[in-house]
Amino acid sequence: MIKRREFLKITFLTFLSSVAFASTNRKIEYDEEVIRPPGAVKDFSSRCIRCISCLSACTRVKRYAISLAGISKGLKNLGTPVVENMREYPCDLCMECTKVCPTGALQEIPKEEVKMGIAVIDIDLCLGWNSDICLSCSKVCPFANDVFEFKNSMWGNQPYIKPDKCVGCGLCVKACITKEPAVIVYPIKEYKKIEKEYLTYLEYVENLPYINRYKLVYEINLPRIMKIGVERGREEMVLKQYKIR
Amino acid sequence: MKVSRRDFIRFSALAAALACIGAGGSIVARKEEVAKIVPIKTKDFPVGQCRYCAVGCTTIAECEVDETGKVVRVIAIKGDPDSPVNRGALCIKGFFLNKALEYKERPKRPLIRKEWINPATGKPDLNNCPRVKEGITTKDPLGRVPPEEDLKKNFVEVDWDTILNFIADAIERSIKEYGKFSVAYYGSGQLGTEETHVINKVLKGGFMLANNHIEGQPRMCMASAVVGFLQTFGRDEPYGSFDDVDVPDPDTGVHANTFFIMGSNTAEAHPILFNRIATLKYRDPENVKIILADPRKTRVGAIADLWLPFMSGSNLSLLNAMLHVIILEANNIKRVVDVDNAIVELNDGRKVHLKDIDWKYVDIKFIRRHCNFGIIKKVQKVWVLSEYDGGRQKVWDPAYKIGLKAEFYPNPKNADKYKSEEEIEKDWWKGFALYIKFLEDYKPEKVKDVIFRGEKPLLFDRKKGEWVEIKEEEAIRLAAKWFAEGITISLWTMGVNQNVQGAWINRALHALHLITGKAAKPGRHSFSLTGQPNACGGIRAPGALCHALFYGRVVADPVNRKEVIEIWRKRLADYLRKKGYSEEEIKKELDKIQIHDKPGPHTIEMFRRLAAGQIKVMFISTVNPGQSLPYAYVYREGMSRVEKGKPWPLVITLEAFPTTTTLCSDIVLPAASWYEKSFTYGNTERRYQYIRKVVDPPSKEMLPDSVIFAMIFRKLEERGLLPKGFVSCFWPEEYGKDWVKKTIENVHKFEWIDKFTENIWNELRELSKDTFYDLSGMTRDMLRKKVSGYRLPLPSEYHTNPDVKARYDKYMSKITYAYPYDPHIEKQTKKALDNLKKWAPVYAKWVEKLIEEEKKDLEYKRKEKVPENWWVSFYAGCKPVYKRKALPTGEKVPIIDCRAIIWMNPHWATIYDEKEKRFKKFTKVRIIKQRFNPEKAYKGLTPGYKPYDRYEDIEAEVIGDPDKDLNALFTLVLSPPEVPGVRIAYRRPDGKDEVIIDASEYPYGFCTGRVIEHWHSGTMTLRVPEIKRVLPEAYVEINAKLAEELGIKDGEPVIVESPRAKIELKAKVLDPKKALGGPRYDYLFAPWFDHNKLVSFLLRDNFDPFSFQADYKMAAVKIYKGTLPVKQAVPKKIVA
Repeated sequence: MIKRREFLKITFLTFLSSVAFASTNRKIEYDEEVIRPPGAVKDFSSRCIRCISCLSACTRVKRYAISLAGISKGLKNLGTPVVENMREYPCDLCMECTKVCPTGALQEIPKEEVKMGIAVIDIDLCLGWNSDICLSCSKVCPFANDVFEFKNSMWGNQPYIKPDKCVGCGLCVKACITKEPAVIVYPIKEYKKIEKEYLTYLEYVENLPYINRYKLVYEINLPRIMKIGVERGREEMVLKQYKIR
Repeated sequence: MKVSRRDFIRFSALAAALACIGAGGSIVARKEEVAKIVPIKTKDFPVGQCRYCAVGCTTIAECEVDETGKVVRVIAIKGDPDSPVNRGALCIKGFFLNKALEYKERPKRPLIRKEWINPATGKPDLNNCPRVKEGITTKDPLGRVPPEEDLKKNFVEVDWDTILNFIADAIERSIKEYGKFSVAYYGSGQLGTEETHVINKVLKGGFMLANNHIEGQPRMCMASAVVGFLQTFGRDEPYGSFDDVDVPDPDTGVHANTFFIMGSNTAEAHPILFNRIATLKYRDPENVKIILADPRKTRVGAIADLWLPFMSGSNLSLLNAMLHVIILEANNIKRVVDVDNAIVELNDGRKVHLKDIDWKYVDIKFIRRHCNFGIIKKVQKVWVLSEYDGGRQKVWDPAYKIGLKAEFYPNPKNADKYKSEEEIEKDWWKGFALYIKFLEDYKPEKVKDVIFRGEKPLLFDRKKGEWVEIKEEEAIRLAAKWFAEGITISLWTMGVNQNVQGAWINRALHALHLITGKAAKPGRHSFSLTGQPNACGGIRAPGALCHALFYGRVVADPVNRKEVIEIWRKRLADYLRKKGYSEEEIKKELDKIQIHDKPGPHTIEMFRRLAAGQIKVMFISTVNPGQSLPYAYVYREGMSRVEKGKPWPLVITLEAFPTTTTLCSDIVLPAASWYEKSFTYGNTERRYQYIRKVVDPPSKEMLPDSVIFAMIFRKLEERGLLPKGFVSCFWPEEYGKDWVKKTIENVHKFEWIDKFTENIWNELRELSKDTFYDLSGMTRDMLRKKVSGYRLPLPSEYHTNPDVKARYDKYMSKITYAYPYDPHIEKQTKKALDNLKKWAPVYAKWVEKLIEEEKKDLEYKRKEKVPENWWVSFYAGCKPVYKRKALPTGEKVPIIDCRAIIWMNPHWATIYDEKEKRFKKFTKVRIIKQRFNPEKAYKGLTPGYKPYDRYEDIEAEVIGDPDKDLNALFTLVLSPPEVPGVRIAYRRPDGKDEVIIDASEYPYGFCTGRVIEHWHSGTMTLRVPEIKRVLPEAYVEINAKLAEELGIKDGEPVIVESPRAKIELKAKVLDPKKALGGPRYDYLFAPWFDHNKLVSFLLRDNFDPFSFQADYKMAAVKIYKGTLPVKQAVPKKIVA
């Protein structure tokens, strides 16, 4: 019997590679950097002794944000704590893990100064950029006043996350209402790589003439966001058929 | 994560493609990709107004269609880009609307609780069933069983004919045994206009059911706004529109640039409108000003410049303080020295007449031409203790309406007494002087403590990008300055309306706009935002409340009753004649149409009477009182009562979803919802949109509510309880004996339901003709053709008079009361003044002169940025206040002087000392105790409509000095009723203390409210998996400072406890300076959508004595860490 999760993964990967990867050959090395628990120092991987105290602390307070890096993250990172599944278990900055770290690899710092990564809004998937009003991500952000900027227009409330203010906790990732989250937390290094392109695209979309923006929203993005819903409906049908659930 | 990240790169590729090749090519490429993914055939169908809030976005359903083009299912809901309301945008609720309706566990056939089934026959039985014989029930007042489980486990399915007969039997028996006042209905602003009309018609004029026992949740939502509009302008509903917000006026190019938002989380409750405001702000952050006055820094704070965190309930002190700044401080007025002659002393010691002041901020021309003053000379704090047998038991209600004394300057009620214009003018200036005299007490320094109670206002420093604290009085002055200098719109919703002084706060907001002349001009509007999608169009305008008749009429007015009866009789006679009835038979049926002359019980009273066992049969439709009523527990308990040997109460609910109310219902009738039927909605800017049927409901037996009501009443017609043809005249086809079967067979045909509702719509159009809400020109054909609908007034002259048509086509009634925007302003003004001239010619001439003066005053119009042909007439003002005048000819004409009323609205009990010529705090508190007498309620509601026996009526004294002691003042304020941390007690004449409410152990305020993800009680939105994943359960918002003091961390379970109930909730700690929102230090907020967390158990069930709208915004609570064994709210012993 196929496990549900694996099945999903397969269908999704095939689906997405057909959609998203059609016209790009650029590659990002994901394992180059990872998202660490809050308060990680610069030379974290050399200071971390893989004692998993932070993991147990996180589990004790029932946040389940911290997991251990597998081999895919590189040998250097093997067994070190990472925050990976932000869709389900983001970090809510309780800072319990920093209190138990024996080597000071994690240090208890004010929440505002945490820098785990940088959240980026995929403006093609985000409802707020595609003629809808949605505040779910900004509502959960503990520092929304500083972090979020809204480029309100007739195309939606267009949220933008200021990279220098975002702490990268991932609460917004969990809160995103679309099937596939329209907001993703990037490790800082990776963000730097895409930053220029991202901002160019943002500006480009924001300044699109009405007719082009209309096409982008109503003919490309909204159908795409909604079709993901359709795909999902089908997925469920298949799952039922094979009695996977 | 990997998947998403990989996906993310896509846009850079797309960006590159768009940049290099140009958008066109890339889009085609993308389109092909999309086509590859989904090989199904789709088509767009216009639906009409969204099912959710009153912004009323126009929607389109994208449907999968088969080869023949027939709809298979709805894939997505989209905004209509052509709609002037939402311009293609939707909020997430609307976006996922089809998923809510696809919910699997909707009731699909008529359901009745199994204890009603006669074991011998297998059919429901009023006598021989376990419910009556053994007195058992499976209802769940505590709300602990999941509603969908309850529907499956405790109900049995029956067919429509059986259930209709059973209901008809029950109504017949109830009427025969207890009289017609034992049947009641609680409806909804979410029902279509035509749907509500069927039951409204019957309960207002239907022979044995004409009892006015009809209410709806607009009472809990908008009643205060209704009273505010009626008492100020004489006509309900906002006079401006969304166009004022951001659409440049066609003539002057003006729209608003300043927004005063009080008690409205517009960002979450009306997101589309908020986005329009936010867009303005984003484009021009320096010049667009947004003032947020709210105990919570709601998400509106994201765009606000100033946050005024007043204590919930102190709204009036704040507004009066702003008026004080605008009228007194801005014009250097120190005090009024001579009220009668309108002489004031200025700050430099000079004494001048008011008319010699060169006014700043105050639009003296506007108020002189268009406003009278309403001065309250005596308002006493009154507490009424009502005792009910069972159910609610004992309850203290504030009732400051009793013994209230108001005067008008000038006074149109005695307009015939005026002999010259000078007399009128003198009165007017005296009224203004009295108004200023009253405002003397509201100097910001004097009232800042009662307004802010220790919390500091925040100002957004745009340069630094952070919030800074400012002084309270400074904040009030700044707000007043911005308000008076800008092109200002005020927006408010539940934060204002759900308050025991809701009606007066509404009046004060209108007063602010009238004084500064910011009304009936483009971009200037006091705009109350409605909550329900059809509260304006389905309940307020057609008068589906206990006191109201159609389109501005009231049941207490004999002339109004006669008008409605005549229209009905004429229509019925035509119908019966067509059916071949003899004239004699027709006359017999026509005589049965009668309207009872006394209003029925308002919502809270209705449920109290239900709980006390006086109301026997209760209809509920498309509303969830079991979750939404304040202190819902006592009313749930009342709905769930059983009495051995008696089948009462019988609660019949029409619903499309399992709700917490179906947990307390005996019968659940399966309703079709939204795009499964056809009807009309009217949104908050008076726009009517026709909702078209797109798909069939999941089951053939799920019927439109209009048809369900009509079938029940047709059964009663057959039994002679209603006039023949009264309701059956709406049927598009004639059926014989088996009409139930045939109706169900045909109801899902598009043409059938379209015609059925059109018949009802035409009756409504006729009822609205020549009223202030005239929509007689809005034919169903017009609505069918234009998806985004039309705004009222749209009089029938639209089709005959080219001038009216031209003006309507250009402005679409965007502003009423103002020429050229209002299509029937000339007609209505002439009618009103002609009536006035009949008995008060001097006064009428004065009114007319001022309007003519305005027409010629081009200088003023240029300064005010209004069109050159602009003029104003508040042509409805103010019949609801002045009532009627009996002429010697016997005619009773409405007193309308085409002028609005600027009311004085004290926050605390006030009396005018005629000797000292000044307003004082009135420290004598009246205490009344009474017992509910059901016998009086059954017998035609005598005395008046208050069936109580009074057994005590005393005057007690406030303990302490309210001028010096803040806590003593809190016992004298009219709002809130329950002040956190304060013991409300008075010294009785016999020297003992009368303790009303002791909240000294409950130091924090608590309120319930809405979130963007969920719609009201969550019955729809909680059924959408995407939305549920984001926000699955209720939480409590706590200010970060308070959380730190109490040691509460974000996400921890805490217990919130009021004197009435306690509940475990997850803490959400928010710092208003850092997060997007957050409450003030001593205030907590919990959303009420979650049926597993009935937060309304914690609230007090007090109501505004004018509007009878309940107060949801201030309950005293304490909060502490901990968990409870039961996750649902736990009620404590019932308290008064």
